[in-house]
Amino acid sequence: MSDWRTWFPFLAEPQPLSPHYLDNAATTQIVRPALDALIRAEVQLRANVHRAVHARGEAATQALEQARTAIAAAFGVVAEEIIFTSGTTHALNLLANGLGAGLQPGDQVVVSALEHHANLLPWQQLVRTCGIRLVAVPVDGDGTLSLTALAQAITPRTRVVALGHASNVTGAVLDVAAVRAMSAAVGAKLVLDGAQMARHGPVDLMALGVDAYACSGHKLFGPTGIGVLWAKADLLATLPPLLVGGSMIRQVTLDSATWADPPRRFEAGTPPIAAAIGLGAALQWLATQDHAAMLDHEARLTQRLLEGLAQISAVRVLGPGVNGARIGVVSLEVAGAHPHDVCQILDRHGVAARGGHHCCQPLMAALDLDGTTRLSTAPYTSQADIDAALTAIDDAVRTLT
Amino acid sequence: MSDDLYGADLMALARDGRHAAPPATTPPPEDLVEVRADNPLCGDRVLLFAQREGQDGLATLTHRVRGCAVCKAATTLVCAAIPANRTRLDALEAEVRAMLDGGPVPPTFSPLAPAARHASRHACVLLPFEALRRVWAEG
Repeated sequence: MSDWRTWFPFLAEPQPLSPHYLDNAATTQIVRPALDALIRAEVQLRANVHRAVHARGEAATQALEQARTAIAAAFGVVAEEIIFTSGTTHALNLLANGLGAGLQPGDQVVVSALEHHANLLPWQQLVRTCGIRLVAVPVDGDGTLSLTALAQAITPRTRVVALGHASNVTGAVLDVAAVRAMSAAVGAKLVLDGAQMARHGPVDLMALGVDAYACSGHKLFGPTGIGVLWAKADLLATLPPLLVGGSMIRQVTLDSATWADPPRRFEAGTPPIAAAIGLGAALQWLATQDHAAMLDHEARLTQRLLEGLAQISAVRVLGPGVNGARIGVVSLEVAGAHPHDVCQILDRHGVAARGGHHCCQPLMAALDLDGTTRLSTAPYTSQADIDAALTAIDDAVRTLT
Repeated sequence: MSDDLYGADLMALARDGRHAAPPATTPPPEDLVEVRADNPLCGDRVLLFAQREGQDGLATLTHRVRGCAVCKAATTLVCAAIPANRTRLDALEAEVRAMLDGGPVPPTFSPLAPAARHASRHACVLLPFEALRRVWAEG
């Protein structure tokens, strides 16, 4: 195993709380450079940005814009296309609201039954506000999205295809190339919810050929309360703002206002300055890492987990198997036991897991499940963490069933 | 770290089917009140089926729970108690809330006492009370 664990302050001393942290799909731990940058920004650079003429304010502005540039570089795009948001949810709301302004009644937005509520509800709102038709592609019995069904759902009336790059429930990775071909064939915008996939990079947005991408800092080893919306410049130029107020205007009178160019148009008010600077540092750190080794490490741990789970007869794993296109997000069902009870038993073993619907209630309804128990890895995950989880699940099965 | 929330008594209550609603194979009585309470955070769902008696009482009370063992056990206890009236329900709920806040443990609810140490599970214990309040609200 590489020395990734040395980069994470939470492992610097014995952990009294949840020493086997396997809830990384919800929140990853913060990496040292991000924490240092966050603290520096709050202590040495704490001032408002963009309008100050004093040295502290100018330094804060410079640090914020350097973070924007670093984030853009990490995704292979330009800084002017990076919009700071509070997270993926905010980013997708901003985008859906903006795109909705240009949609006509009867236009279609295609999503799937796998979507996190953050990539469902903003589009669902457009049904009410814009009269669009929301088409949700169903999944099969183990939660797999069928590309055949997706192809059937996309029609000449489809204006937007909005899907998760990787599922936060099953860990399945979307075949972006195939979806891009389908959406491009009808001229639809392709929007990806990258909350889960962004850290399994590098994510080269130009190579992916998508139109917009959203992700969250707290799932990228960065601070909480910060996220990113990226969209192509020509798309951003057409979008109205979601929030209006300070910092995002060109001219204001008592009767009207005109908007600044992107990205400022979409960053009303004081941005999450320190968090954005921290996220920039996290992505700069990530860019220096051996991605292949990192992904291989997580893949081996995921394989160990899946193989161990296969030995427990009461357990059913959703989504792709060991050789499928997946990330280290593993959802399982323990027959006869509720996921919250399973997670409570795991907690007794010091294993942090997540139980419930994972903000995917339509998926749970489609699979006729109350929820699942989800284990998710990170580069700092160890074999001991996986083995502790397997022992704990075995205990949960014996205790609850 | 968790303590032993899943004691034998709690698991027995969770599996106790004495107050489970029968399958809906026949038309329900006309005076049957059906209510539902959901916990959107965890997905627990409690359905209660009640027949009112007098101003504030219940003649029958059965349940159908889709949720965790803690919620199932709490619902079993609530149905077993069949609070005679709303005043008694309020008192019982207050006692259980006090237990969850670290206060005295109502004897019949002792299997759920370890839940007090797990704030995230308090809603699981309280969900059947929320449903039961709706029985009277609906009635």
